[in-house]
Amino acid sequence: MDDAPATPVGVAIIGAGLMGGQHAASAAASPDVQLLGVTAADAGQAEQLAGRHGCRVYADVDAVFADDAVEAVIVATPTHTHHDIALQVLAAGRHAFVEKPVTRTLEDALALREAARAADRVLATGHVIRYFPEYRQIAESIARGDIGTPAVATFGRRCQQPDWAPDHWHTDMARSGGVAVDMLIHDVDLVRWYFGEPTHVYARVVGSDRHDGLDYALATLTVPDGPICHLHGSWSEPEGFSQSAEVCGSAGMITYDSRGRDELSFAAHATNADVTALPAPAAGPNDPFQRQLRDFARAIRTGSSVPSDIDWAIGSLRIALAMLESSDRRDVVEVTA
Amino acid sequence: MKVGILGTRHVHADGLAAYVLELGHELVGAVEQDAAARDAWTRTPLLELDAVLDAADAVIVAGTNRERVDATIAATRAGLPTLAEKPVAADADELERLVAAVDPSLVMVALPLRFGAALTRARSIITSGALGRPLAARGTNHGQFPGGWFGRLADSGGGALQDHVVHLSDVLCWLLDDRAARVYARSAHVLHPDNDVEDCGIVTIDFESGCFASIDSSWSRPAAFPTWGDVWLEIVGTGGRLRIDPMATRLELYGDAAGKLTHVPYSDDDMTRNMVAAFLEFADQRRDGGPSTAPVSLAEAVHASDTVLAAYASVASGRPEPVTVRQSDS
Repeated sequence: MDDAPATPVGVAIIGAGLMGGQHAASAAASPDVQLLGVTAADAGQAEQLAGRHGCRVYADVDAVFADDAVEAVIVATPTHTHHDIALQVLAAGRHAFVEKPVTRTLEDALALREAARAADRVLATGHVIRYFPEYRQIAESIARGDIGTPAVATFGRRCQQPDWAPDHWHTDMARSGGVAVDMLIHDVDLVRWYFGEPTHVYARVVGSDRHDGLDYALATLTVPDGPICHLHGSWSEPEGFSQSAEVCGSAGMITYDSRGRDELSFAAHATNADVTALPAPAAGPNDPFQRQLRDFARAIRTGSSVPSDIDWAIGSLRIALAMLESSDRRDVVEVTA
Repeated sequence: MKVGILGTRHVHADGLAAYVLELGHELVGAVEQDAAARDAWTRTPLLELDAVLDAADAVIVAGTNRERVDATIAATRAGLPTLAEKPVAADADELERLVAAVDPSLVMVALPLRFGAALTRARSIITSGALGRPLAARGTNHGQFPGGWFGRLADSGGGALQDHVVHLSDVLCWLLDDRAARVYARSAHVLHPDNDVEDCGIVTIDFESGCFASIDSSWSRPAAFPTWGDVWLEIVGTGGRLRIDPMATRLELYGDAAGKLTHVPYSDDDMTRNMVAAFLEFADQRRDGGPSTAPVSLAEAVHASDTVLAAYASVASGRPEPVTVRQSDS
């Protein structure tokens, strides 16, 4: 990649789970940042991750803040902890990158925005979907007029029951928001990116706290002058992760499904192998997480804005939470900015 | 068995008639008023209604949606077992007229999905308990615009919602032994501006059990699509995830003659042929005073139409709307 900042930004990662692991891999490979170390509630997980990337382990967040080389912190902890940890990061004078969903509640997200303004630090969020080349190509195809006027658009993602976190926070709606908030927020991003701000949300959600984490969510978003937008999210897919999109218009249709679209695939003979159905960490020139880090590092060095800033995150969180509200009330929810 | 055809303008009319012959039965003739459709129909002689009803042992009702109720009433008043195309009526008034006038014990409705091997196996998986408690489902029944009268409100009573929702809403009720209770729907009219009906629609159905599902019934497949459309359904339960793609058994043909990719189905299991065979067997049994519940009953098809009517009500109100509960449902 071109145009790396003269001096890489020193970063630490809080959290060593699925996303902490992805950020560590991307940060280690990125010319824009220098991965200094990781810390996690589970010290063993942190050590394993640090060992893989040759960085240090911090005993806790205070140890992170005590390291003067740490300019920025990536917060990749369970959703409900983002708010408190990000506040500490900002209070310690560090720039913050917070995984999506930026917080579990709208109030927490608004508080983070105020804290970042007061601290005059960069606050970026992990709304990473805009950095995926497949979704950028869909945006360009729509903009080129390949499919004419969009009439109906469907976006979805699915994976197995999320039981990989040791404390099973995914299966607690109060902590994760379930598949609607945790995963479909990416698809909310797509609707907003491609077509504009939804005004009405109707959704039906199983909820991850009723059947051992199994969850399923269907949502229909109304976007003024846009197509009918339908989102589908599943935490009930035994075959593991996949994502898909389809936009139909007056002159054609463009579709994408990650299933069967692996450039490379290796599988051990399945005599005794665990099914590891989560996506392998992205790598190489298509790694969207490295592209995301680049914008974060640039913002820190040059004062440029990040596209997935806290305002963007708040906008998508608002829609995702409206899905839960709609499902609870069994009615359409009007969304106002 | 001698079979008459009442109305030929449904896209399935000729195919259904051809299966009657293939299955070793006779066609006595067809009734058609529309001049262009009369010219296009070559399968049988064209006769007057009374002549067909006198000569036939059973009839297939396959005209436009608007013609369907009159034809179904005429056939059943003549005491003939009747296979009626779907939807069974063009609108709410027609549906009421049908329910009031027709002998339901003579009517089977042409919802072919139930007769495919994949659906039959899916039902046995569900019945076995392997799916556990059904939680949610999602289906697509996309199509290309079927053309002609399907795009005219006066003939069809509605567009993409009217044409396709009944298939998967019925399949879900049948597979899950459930009934639709509430519907939210959005529709759009963007793809075929010369029509006066919606060409895109997404419905979300709440079932009585608490399970919910969405169905995308849009005529959103472009002319360049390899085939007429798709049928696809996934159901998630506490025991597993079931996925049904009855059109998956196909080859992909890259033919320069077509100028695009086309699909070549290879399955010998033909759901429509199975459905026609089931109807002819039902008709044969009815003639001998046999069982009076068709493999797809009128009550089930009326419920599917009530579900679609709730979808149209939701489009109009912008809110979820209840599905009509009928006396015959209990």
